[in-house]
Amino acid sequence: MLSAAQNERLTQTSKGTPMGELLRRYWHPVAGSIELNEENPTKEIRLLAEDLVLFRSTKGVVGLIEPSCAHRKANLSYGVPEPEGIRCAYHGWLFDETGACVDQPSEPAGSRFKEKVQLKAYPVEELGGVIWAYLGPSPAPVLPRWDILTWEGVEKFIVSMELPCNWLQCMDNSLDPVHFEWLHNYWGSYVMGQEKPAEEREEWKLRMQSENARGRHEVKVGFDRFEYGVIKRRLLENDTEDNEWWRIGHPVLFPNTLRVGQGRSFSFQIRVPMDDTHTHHFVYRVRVPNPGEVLPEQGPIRVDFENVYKPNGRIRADWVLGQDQSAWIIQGPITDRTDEHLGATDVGIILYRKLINEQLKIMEDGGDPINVHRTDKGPIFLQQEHSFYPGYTETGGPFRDMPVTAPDVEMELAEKISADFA
Amino acid sequence: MLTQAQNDRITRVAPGTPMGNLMRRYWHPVAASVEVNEENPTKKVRLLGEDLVLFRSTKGVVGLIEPSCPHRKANLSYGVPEPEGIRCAYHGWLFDETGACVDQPSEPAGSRFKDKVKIKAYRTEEIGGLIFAYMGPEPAPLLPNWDILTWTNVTRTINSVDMPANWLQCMDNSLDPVHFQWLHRYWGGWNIARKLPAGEGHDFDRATLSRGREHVKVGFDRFEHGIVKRRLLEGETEDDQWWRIGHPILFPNILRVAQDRWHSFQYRIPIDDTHTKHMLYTVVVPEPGVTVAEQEFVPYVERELYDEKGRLNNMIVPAQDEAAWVMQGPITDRTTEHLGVTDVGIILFRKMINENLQIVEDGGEPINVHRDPEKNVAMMLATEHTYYPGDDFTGGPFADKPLVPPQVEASMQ
Repeated sequence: MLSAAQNERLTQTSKGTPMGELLRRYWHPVAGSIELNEENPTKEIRLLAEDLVLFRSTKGVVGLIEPSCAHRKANLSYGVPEPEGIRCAYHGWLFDETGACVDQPSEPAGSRFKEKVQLKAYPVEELGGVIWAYLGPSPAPVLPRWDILTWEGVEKFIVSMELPCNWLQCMDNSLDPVHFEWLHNYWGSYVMGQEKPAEEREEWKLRMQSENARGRHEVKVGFDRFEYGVIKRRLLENDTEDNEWWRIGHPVLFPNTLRVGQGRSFSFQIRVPMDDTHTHHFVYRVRVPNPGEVLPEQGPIRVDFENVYKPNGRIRADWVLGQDQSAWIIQGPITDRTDEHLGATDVGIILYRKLINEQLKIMEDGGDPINVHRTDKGPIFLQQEHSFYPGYTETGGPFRDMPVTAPDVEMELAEKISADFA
Repeated sequence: MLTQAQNDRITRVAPGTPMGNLMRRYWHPVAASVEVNEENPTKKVRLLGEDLVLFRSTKGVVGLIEPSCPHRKANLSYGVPEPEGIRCAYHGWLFDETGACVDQPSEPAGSRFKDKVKIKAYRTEEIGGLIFAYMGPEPAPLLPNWDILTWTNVTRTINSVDMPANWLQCMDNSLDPVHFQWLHRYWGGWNIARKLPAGEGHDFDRATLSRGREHVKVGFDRFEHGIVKRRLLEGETEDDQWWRIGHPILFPNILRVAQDRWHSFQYRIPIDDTHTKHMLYTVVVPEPGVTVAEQEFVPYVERELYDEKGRLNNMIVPAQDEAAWVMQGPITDRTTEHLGVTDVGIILFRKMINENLQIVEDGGEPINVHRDPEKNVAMMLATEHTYYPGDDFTGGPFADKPLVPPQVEASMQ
């Protein structure tokens, strides 16, 4: 349970707020590279409570600038791309990616008025088919080259969704392994059963009432701090501590990214704060080919825009990510943490709040918070249990020989709840 | 660049605000006449930040009254039209066009309760296929009988679109001739060229910026009804009608624009601070000697502001203007604008607004309010390169207007 002030401190995204400033120390994805093309050369962006316009010039240069032309405030998302930048629809003022006004065609020849005009502009970089933006203080840190963004010979695509809730609810979920049994197995079955034709519903009901309704139970959960955030581990019933679920785990990258996957699938779930009550869920998915399989050369990385709601206005919950997103949205625009009741299984959430508060303090004391990169270390590998990395024939990849260690924080879970509800 | 207080003062129109008071000194079109008929006897309207109900009685009398029945507040737009007015759906109270309650059928016989009940009502008048309303202090001025509203032997059409933008953005645009080259030629051309197959599009050419003839200079004159706007295009002399005659902006919110045989008014009707109804009233004049069929009614259509992708429509000139106004935001932030040399007309218009705000605050009558019935007859307005009824030359009664320098001008050279 937090005070209202503590909750605000952790969740707010605007410039000048503590968390808004901390979030500004990181690069954030704003669009798939493919989203800016000849047909749609601009995109309206909302990021960290700022409205912006993203554009690509006809020379291919990407810019991220404030949305209103400095002249008479027309929105530049309707502008025309040119070699030097984006030209306003209304009177043709031309702005480049630095926000400089480089042409004012209707002002008298020799006028120097344009030199007095400057729009806000932010650095952008493209990596892995994604356009990333940095809204923080200069000098900008290095854009981290995470492993999956750089892999070649794999299949990649992006899923993009807009959620009407605060970003921290998504992170709470990633620090809470136990929801899997309930949200995904139990409630997910219920929701999917509801959507089946009447004659199939009975079967789904039986499935919910069976002893296996919640899948394998977790015996304990554990968390470790590491240089980029937190590693999450779980021990499932009938497994030993040597199992990769416990021994390797998978990471939450500070401040707003989950790395998750299994088998040949790797992904980032990046919870990009649009503002205090909206989040752009930017999911970057990679499939590693089967042994011997050679994928055809992949063209531009596609973006699938998924609607969070069904036509009837309810949240789509017929897939795992839809179930997570349902949970975040049904916690409200900003979860009222002054009235929550954290239990034993929420130990990871408490650890993460502590980590955030420490990083806020570090930033306020003038330091670089965790996971800010100042040198290019090349592709950075991240651990992901039970997964086949490119070039490895067994799971765990470069992490396969990690020894069993005790986590920094761990919690034994209650004996599995008896199946009284059968 | 304005302060926030200055911007609020000239844009906001709710009751009791300075600009709201000034706007209430003028008659505003509230609907096309055909919008209230037997099938649709009522229309919910919002005008100058007030919600109202427009109705037509079965006798044909038009009324504009507050929307809620004073009994138990049911909305009168669901009422039943009768000879004397509109009868509330819920318990049958009947209101006439003055807002008087003329029947309360469930009250005891002899009750005088209805005499105590009165709802707000505003004057309306119909002319040329439009219903106009007056929401200001009494005595109401005359409804101006502008030329094109009264001409006979012409063909009229009306269309409108509601926009999420303040009315003054539309007027800024009308005082700014140079946007034509950019918004309509360059941007409009780019959009059209992208949407139509090659060869069928606009002759858009990115290399030349495809912006048509350059403006050499722009000029503005105050006149008794507002401002006359003039432009000199490259390749023309000052004797050209674009410069010598120009066309008018009627204070506070009407553009008169015309070409060849069509004349039009663009009414920018403030719905509230952040919404405007753009009503286009077009009149086509036949060739001399031709008689056109008399119209039983003036047809009216509502246009769509957005396309199927949710982007602003932009394939015709008025839609391009409307797109510009909407993309300037609900109320343009004039505290961070940067006006250039070509914006001299905008500055003149703001000055005129501020002068007339002061006149109203001092108890006077602002510009373009009409009280003299003798003068209020088919008032002719000058438009360049345009045919007037019966003439086979352009400029009509203004064809011989002498060349004079404008009161305010800006050179683009």
